[in-house]
Amino acid sequence: MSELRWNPILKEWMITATHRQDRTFKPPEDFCPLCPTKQGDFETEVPREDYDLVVFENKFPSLKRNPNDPVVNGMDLTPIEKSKGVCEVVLFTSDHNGVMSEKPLSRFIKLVKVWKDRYEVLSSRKEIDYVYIFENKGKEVGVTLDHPHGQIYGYPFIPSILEKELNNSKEYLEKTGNCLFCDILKQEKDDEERIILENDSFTALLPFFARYPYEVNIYANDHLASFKDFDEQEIKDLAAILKTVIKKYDNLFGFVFPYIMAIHQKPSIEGTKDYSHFHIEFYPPYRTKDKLKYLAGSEAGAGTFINGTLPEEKAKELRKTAPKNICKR
Amino acid sequence: MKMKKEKVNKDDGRFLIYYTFEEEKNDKNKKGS
Repeated sequence: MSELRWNPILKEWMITATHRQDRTFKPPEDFCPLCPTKQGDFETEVPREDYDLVVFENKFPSLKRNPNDPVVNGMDLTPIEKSKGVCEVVLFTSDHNGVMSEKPLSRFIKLVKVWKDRYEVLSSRKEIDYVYIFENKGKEVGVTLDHPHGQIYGYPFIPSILEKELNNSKEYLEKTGNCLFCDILKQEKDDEERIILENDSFTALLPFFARYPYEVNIYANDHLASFKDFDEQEIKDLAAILKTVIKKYDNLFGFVFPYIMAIHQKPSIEGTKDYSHFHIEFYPPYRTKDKLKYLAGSEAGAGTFINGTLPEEKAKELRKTAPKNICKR
Repeated sequence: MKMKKEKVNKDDGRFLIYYTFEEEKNDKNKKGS
């Protein structure tokens, strides 16, 4: 059972998805549902004995192709809607214990191509307003399956954080004639303090207003609104900077660094291209090698993040962490 | 790299897409590959 419930106070939708309480939780490696199916063994999500990359519909989706009617009625102030949409799982590799930062660059190129394909397919569907591609990595951010994978949600609305971001970008465009993200990137490049590294198409930086100590953002250097605008070189350049950032993360404290990775790009709605700017945001939970940053009173209850570090110092730390140059293979 | 995809239906009605990639002849000659 799942449904969309409107919060008129924050003007945002939330999703109830009670069936997700029963989803597979931290199974032992031999029972991983994301591994290929071994001959004579139980059938996993992928019936074949090996695969390269795979996308499939989530078994426990928050949003569904054919959702049921809501179990309760909405009220005047709090309407309710069917949870129509898409929840897909992207398997990055068949290697259960694979560490992505140790995989060749070609695997990242393949992954970017798959993301681009799913974005193009899903964003053309009329019921979907926003294609949101993300990865939850590590038990610290609540991952229930260890196998390297990410997810794609196709929302029938623009989620509130993304809507706020787009509204502000639109307002800035109307006022100045410029893209807000293009101007932020220019300001960061002029200042240089928080730049980590860059290639021809993308720049990795810690934003001036970073909320997490190691909150790396990857911005498209040109005004690319979405994966749809990527050419072959931009696909390769994104793959390369992505691998480099993840490798830096893993080298930072000597363990596979957990994070939430969020890809922000153009909604599926026409007329949004001029103020949508492709970028990736990482929210890693570690603030030191052995301490986590929790979302506490100010963050969770008031929406104001308190970062106990200076982005300028953390950017310098990440610049010094290997690899210092963009990964070539 | 040329991408191919094969969409199949699972027993419970969900779909699954296998993505495979073939290296193109000129990939090896391209910068950075």
